[in-house]
Parts: sequence; structure tokens; C-alpha cells
Amino acid sequence: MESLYLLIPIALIFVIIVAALLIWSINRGQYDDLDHDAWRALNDDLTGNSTPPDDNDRN
Amino acid sequence: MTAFYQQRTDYPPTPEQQTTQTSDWYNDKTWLQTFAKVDAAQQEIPLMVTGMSCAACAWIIERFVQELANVQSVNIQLALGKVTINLSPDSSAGPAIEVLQGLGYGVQPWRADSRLQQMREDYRRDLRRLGIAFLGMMQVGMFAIALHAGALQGIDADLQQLLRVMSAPLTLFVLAYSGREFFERAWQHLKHRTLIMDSSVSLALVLATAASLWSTVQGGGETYYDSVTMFVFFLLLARFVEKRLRDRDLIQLVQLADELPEFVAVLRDHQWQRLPRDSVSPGATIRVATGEAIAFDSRVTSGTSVIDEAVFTGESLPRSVQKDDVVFAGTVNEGASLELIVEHRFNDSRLAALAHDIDRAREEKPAHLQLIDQFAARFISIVLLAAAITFVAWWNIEPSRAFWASIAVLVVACPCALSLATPAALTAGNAWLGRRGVRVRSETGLLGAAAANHIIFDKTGTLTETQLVISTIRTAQGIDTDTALGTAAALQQFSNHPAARPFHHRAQNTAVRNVEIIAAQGVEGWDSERNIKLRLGNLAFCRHIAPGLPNRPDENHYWVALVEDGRWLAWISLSESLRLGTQHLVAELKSEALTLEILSGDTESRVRQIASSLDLTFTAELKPDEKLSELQKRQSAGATVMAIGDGLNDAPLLRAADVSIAVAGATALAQTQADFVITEENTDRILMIRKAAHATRRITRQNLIWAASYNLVGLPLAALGYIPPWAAALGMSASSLLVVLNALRLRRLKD
Repeated sequence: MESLYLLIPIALIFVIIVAALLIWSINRGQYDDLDHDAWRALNDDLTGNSTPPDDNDRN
Repeated sequence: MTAFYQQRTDYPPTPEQQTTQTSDWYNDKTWLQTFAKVDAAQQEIPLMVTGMSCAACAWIIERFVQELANVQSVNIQLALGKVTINLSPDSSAGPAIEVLQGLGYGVQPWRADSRLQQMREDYRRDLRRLGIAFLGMMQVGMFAIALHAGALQGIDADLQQLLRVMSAPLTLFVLAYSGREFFERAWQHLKHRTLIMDSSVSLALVLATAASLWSTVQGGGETYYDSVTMFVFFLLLARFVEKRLRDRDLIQLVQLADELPEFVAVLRDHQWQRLPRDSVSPGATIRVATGEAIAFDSRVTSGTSVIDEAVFTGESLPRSVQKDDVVFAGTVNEGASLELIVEHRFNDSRLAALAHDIDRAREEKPAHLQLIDQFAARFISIVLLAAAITFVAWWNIEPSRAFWASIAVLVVACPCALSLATPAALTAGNAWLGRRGVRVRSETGLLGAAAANHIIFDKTGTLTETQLVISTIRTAQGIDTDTALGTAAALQQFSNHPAARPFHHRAQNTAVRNVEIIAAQGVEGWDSERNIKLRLGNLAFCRHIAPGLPNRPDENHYWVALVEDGRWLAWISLSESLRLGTQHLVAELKSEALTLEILSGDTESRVRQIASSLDLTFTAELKPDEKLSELQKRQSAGATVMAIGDGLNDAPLLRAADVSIAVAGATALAQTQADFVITEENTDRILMIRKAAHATRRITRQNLIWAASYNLVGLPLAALGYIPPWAAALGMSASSLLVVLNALRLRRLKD
């Protein structure tokens, strides 16, 4: 049970790190448009800016 | 393209809806620099794109714009309707704009609007607070589980104390960071000597935290850290969702003001110059070409034309104007070009006033929340009194129990479950509708929809399609139907009049020239081959060149005559068709024993035709204010009225009704007045709203009964000292959680 005295404060440190990351990502605008990005993940043929998309339908 | 159809959740606008092509503006570099970032390295052009109603739209824009050679990247923010295009330096933005307009989207420059800027800041702040409250709740909850388990199974006193000492700073941080809006608002009201829901929330939070800190310092007694963080999170969550719903209106409003033309033709030194809208001041003479929107409230100095005022009146037929008539910003010139003298700045225009009204309505608190605040004020004084009496009573009986007993009373009486009961159910019900193509604009609309027992339909566009269709044709002897229709289509191709639109898809068989649109009368043109004058329009106008034209075959339809010089050719009738599923909708609503009726501004004979086919009662030829007084008559007779409409002439009706629905294709301003906006051409959604409303009301009642009876039973028991504070806290958390979980049952509601 001794280890708990170390693990519990460590848990607190983790929470602080996660909270800091969350605030950082919100301020960077990563959560500004949840609707669009949710759909983007499903687009196979949208590979980014470098490759132009195919003209033909794939399916 | 397959992906587009798979992911489409809404229909994009069709290219015909775009009246003015404005892509050449974007080649003007000086103008571009007023809103875009243009430098040697790249050009960043922010655009406001209207009609981007679903994720698939974003996908198709990204795909097609990216294909252009000079486009480096495209960034889309769907929620804001904002598209940012990065172009390579010195290239023209015109092609990208043409692609967007060709896809049928409306494009305007995105100017940094302080309201939208503020909205984004608020959104991020609220999200940060919500996120921190969530993390705090999870971590403190984890410690609390250990503490509760330890209380049952035995736990080292040191370990117990460590868990409490760890929970304390987390809770205090959540309170200070996430919970501050409760305290701020409670404090503001306290300064004005008023109590609101936030006052009792703040008091409960402060006392529960203070008691927990006291226990932690003393090394004994009860702690409520988990209840505090959980309460903060759930209250913030409900508010966050509610606020996001209201943000959408603001975006729509900003878009509306931006539909005005950016450039205006202005008379300067006897020459027409195209100048940016902002540089035009009252007194200037401007020219508005056919199809252009009017940018200012102004007066006609020369020309006659017809003005589409659907934005204000909802009338599908335009108003004719001549010299000295007043025209309004936001309306569209559908006839010949007009010269106008500007009377007011845009900020003093009728459109700006309307936008301002809606903006203010947005700030007003919904009526039910005001009720809750009044209730809270009374409730909190009773609770404080009860706690004080408990303290005094125990002080005289057994002083050592006085503090904990009065804390238990306060914790039991905490209105957590009560304040979550309604918002939690409404949030779940609104989310259910949102997934089914209904935009919920007022978070309390579902309560009204459940209570409605009287439904008022607007006719045009609600029960019927907005587009007229050609129904019957009576031709003169020797003329066949196709010839008549082909000639009519040729004449109508230049007109944007609603009566002309059904002809636009027809094949033309005649070459016409010198076509002239005569306001409120019809169209005149010359047959190029036979060199003969043709007219299409109303009786008097056509009889003028063809005296043999017989009267209209009947009065139940909208008839247009087609004649050539000296001879009549045909009477063509246009009629409205019922929307898909209207019959089913009416039958279903009737089976629920609701009173249904039609209030329409249209002529009696045409309303009668629709009403009799649906077997509904009706009142026709009503002006917007008469509609309103009809509505108020029903309301004072005790009916709870649901109004369903689409035009801005319905806007007063939609606003005054107990609950209102704007159907697909409704004018933007009608949408801002309605509680629900149906985004699909499917009247089944109205039934879904009823269904969700009933389910939400049932859940809300269960929640309220639970929360109220919990408080009623708990309060005396706590005052008598039967409930130890830890049990009160556990009960408070459990009862809040129960209310939220009960609301989540709405997710599983069947279609």
C-alpha cells in the first residue's frame, strides 16, 4: 500500500498535464469546427493538399 | 462523386438561386485588400459562403477548389460558413469564386465581425471551462470512489487524509476556473438585491466546499468534493449546449447583412462609377441593374421596375415601383434597371433595424428561465430559513450536531436535480431532433410543442411547393399545346417572376427579340421569324392587342394568357402542388384530436382549392397583422397554438405563436423567428417534432417529480438529524445523475 502515497500525487500531476494540453488545443482552434472534421475522417479520397483528388468515382 | 451523395445530409442550393455573378469583383486588388491578407508570399482570402448546409458541401468545395492551379490550400469552417482560400501570389481569385458560385453557393467577403469574433472567444472560453470541469469531476470522482470503498472496507487514516488533501485543490481549481460564472452572476444580482438560480447554486457550492475544507483541516467529518465538481460540470454542459443553439442565429444574421452588393454603381461627375458600398453616403445617386440587390433604403428617381420584397413581406409576387417610390435595402430589383437616390446610411435602414431587433431578442432570457429564477428566489429563502431554524433548534438541544445538521439541510435542499431536470431533458430531445434534420432554435420549443392543441398552417410553401407548376392549357382553335408552351417558354426565359419560373425548363420553339417585361402586367416580345408582336400576361394587357381573347376559364387557378397581334393563342393555368407527405401529415395530426386550420394571405379561391383537398377549415386574404390578430383570438380563447409557416409575412405569426416551425426553404428572417427549422423537404419532420415533444415532456415530468419529492422528503429528515451529511451528498449526486440518465433515455426514442 506504500506505493499509493506516490501514485496518488502522480495522478494529480497527470491531470494537470492533460488539462494544460486541453487548454492549449482549444486555444489553437482545434475544437472550433467539430462538424466538418468529424466527416473529414471518413473521406478516403481527400488526401491533403499535395495530391489532387481523382476525377473518377472510385466505388 | 459517390461520396458526396453518401454524406449529403441536406440539399445544396441550385445554381439558379444565384442571381448576381460577382466573381469579377475579386479581381480588384484594392478592394480585395479591404478584407483579405495579400502580400508577396501568398494571398489569404476569407469568404463567407452561404448554402453550405452540410458536411458533404464542405467536401465538394474542398475537392473542386483545390483542383485549380493557383489554389494552395482551402480551409473550411462549416459551423461558421467560412471558407479560407490561400492563393499563390499575384494570381487572380476570380476562378475560385466562379467555381464556388458554379456549385451554387453564395459567396461574400468575410469581414471580421466583432460579434462573431466575440462568439468564437466565448465558445473557446466555455469549452475550456467545461473541459476543466470534466477532468476535475473524473479525477475527484476517482478519489471519492476510493474514499467510499474505504469507508466500507476500512482504510488507513493517513491514506484517507491524503485522498482528501488531493481532492481539495482540484475542487477549488474547478470552482475558481469553471464555476466562476455562477459566482459572478450571483454577485451581480446580489448587488441589485435580487436572488436568482445562480445565487442558490453559488451558495450550495460555497457551503459544500467550505464544509469539506473544514473536515479536511480537522481530519474528520464529511467531504463533498465529488458532488461539487459533478454539479459544476453538468450545469455547465446544459448551458453550453443551449448557448451553441443560439449562436447559430447570429451567424445567419451576419450572413443576411452580407448578401448586399459590395459594389454599387454611383453617379459621380456625370459618370457611372463602381464604388465600394461603404464609400456611398446619403444623397448619392445610384443605379441598380436587373437582378441586383438594393444596398440602401432609397427613393426612385427614374425608371419603373418590380421589386422582390420577399425578405420583408414573404409575398412571392413582386411589388411594382416608379418615380418617388421608396425601396428598401435587402430587396431585389427584378425588373428594369433603376436610378435611386440614397436616403439613409445602411445602419439606419429597415433591414438593419430588423437585424437589430432579432439581435436583441437573442439576448433576452427565455420565459421559462425567468420563471425558474423567480421560483429560485423564493426557494432559496425558504431553504436558508429552514437551515437557520435547524441550527438554532439543534444548538438548544445538542450544540455539537448543530453545524452538521444544518449543512445536511442545505445539501439536501440543493436544487441540483431540480435545476437540471428540465434542461437535461430538453437538451437530449433537441439533440434527437437535430440528428433528424430539424434545426432547433429555441431550447424551450419542445415544451410548447407538447402542449400545442391548435395548429395554424400558412398555405404557400408550407402545405404546397413554393414552385408553381403548369397544370392545364386551353388553346384557341388550330393551336396545339406544345406550340403554345414553346412560345410561352421563349417569352418567359428572361423573366425571374415566380409565374415565369415553371416555364424555364420547357423547350422553346420560337426565337424572340426585344423582350420587355412590363411590371405587374406581363411580358411583350417580337417573334423574330414572323415579325409579329407577342404578349403573355394578364387579361387586360393581352386583350389590348387581341380583342378576341375570352375571359379566364375559371377563378380557381392562376391564369396567364398568350396572344399574338390580333389573335389569342392560349390560356395557361399555373397551380400549386401539395408537398410530398402533406396528406399523411394532416391525417396523423387529425387523429391526435388537434384543431387544424389554414390562415393564408392568398386569394380565397386558391386557398379553398388546397383546403378542400385536405379537408381543413381556412381563412384567406389575410394581411400579416390580421394573421396575428386571428392568432391572438385563438390564444385568448384558450388554445395553445403551433404555427407553421415559411415567409417573412408569417414572421409575426411565428414569433407570437406558442411554438412555431419554419419549413424547408423558408426565408432567412422567418427562420430566425421560429422555434424549429425543418431543413428537409419532408413534412414528416413535423410529426417527429410532436413525438420528441411528448417524450421530452414525459421525461421532464418524471425528473421534476423525482427532484421535488426527494427534496420534500429529505429536508425534514435532514433537519431532524436522521440524514448524516455524507448521505445527503451521496443522495444529491445520485439524484442529479439519475435525472441526467433519465434524460438520456430520449436518445433511444424510435423514429
